[in-house]
Amino acid sequence: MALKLDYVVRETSTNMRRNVTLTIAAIVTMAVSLGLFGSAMLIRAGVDSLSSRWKEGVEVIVFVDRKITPEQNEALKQKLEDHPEIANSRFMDDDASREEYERIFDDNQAMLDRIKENPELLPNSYRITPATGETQAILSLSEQLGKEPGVLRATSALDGVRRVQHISSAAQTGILVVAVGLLLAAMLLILNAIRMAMFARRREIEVMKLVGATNWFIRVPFMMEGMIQGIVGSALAVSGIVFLNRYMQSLSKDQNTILTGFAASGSEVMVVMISVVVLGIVIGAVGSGWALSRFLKV
Amino acid sequence: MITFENVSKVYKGSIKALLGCTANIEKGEFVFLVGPSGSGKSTMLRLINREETADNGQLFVAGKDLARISSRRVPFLRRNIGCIFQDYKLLPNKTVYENVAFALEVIGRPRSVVHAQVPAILELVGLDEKAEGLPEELSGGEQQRVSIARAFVNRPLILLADEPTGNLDPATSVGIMRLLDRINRTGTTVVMATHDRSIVDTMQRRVIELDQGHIVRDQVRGVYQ
Repeated sequence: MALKLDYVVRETSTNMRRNVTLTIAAIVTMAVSLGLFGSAMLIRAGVDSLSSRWKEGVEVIVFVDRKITPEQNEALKQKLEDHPEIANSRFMDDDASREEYERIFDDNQAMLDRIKENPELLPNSYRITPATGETQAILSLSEQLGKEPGVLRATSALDGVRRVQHISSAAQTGILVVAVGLLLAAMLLILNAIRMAMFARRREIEVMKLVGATNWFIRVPFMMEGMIQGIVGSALAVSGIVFLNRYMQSLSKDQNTILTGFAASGSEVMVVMISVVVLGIVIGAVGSGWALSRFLKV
Repeated sequence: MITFENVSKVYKGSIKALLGCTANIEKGEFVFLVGPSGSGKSTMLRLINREETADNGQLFVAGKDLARISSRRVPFLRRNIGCIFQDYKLLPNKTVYENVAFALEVIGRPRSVVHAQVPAILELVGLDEKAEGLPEELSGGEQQRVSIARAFVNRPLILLADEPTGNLDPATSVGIMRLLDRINRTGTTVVMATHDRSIVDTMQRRVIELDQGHIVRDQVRGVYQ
């Protein structure tokens, strides 16, 4: 038994026009929730590429307390030279530290003035190249060196990366929770839109059943409605994701910030988009299928 | 064509609609179901159409055991059964032509069949000149003719009529009965539930009388009472 295309198109568009507000509500909720879902995926991909980039060539900086005694300093120096996990260490004295500081804060007169007036604020430091590239080993090395006597603080770029990872995983969880809640709302809105459409057409459905239309024939226009809402919603979400991706690309291109390299690859973006569209269609179909199974008993 | 064997139907809340009814209706018969309101006439029709299922007993329609038919096959059973009602059940936003064509479209008949059959059936019921009118522009008798056209356009084996003249004046009712009689003479089995004494008495057809769910009379050339 053939389902005629013109019949399906006609009935579906009539249904959607009849409930414009509900249709729009369902689409917007769908777009927002899928947009958030896709953003969470995209941010995760960005953070992953960020962390992998920072895994190479990480330096540990050991800041030395100004009140360090010469004996302590000697012991520290010896320790760094003998440490099996350290490939190389280099001491930055007052001049070298100031030179570097002035280079970094080249464009910030206030910061420059502050150090000029109080040169003792700027600590000396050891620059250490770890023997290993292992994130965890570098982090524990840095932690261990921070506890040595006469050491102010030991830090590495990985601390920053770890902070970004930490914040982003919290953000991802939050976004995902909101997205799932909204996806559920979108599904219920679609369910409601289909119910309203079926209610508006209950006389036609009654007649269709009486003359022997199959349930599939009755269902298809309503399922199409749910799927179209899913598709339009996910299309809007995809355009939002494209914008987010552009923004991440521009952040990523800024040299020497913590976010350098914070961008998903083209194939990752593609995967995000496809999963958003598929999810949208599935939710539209599930929402309408649910409505139909509950309100279309033989 | 239709066989009830000891059929019972009890609705929720233990309302006994039909109790141990046995009757056999042959192909081409014209049968009146009479009895007071709530005696089970509509339930019998709804069972034949499988809008309801029997709780007990066996019911065969067009050679099918309705207890064994899967719900997927029900639409195909209904294509053998036309239905008309007291309130016509026409779609108000479709024209006469569209109302009748709708019944063919939704069972997937090709457009060429629709174009051929709808004008023919409208001519049969005498409404070929009002094909483009809306139901609300028609009289009650005309609306019932549209509903008969819709029920009969697919040439069903059985026509079920639930008080088709209930809203019509006697003269119009006679016209509707002539039409049903004509359809019956093409070989279609007609089962009609009615309260209309004069129609039953004039037609002199088989009468099954129900009272509180029991068949109390089954007469071959019966009258209302």
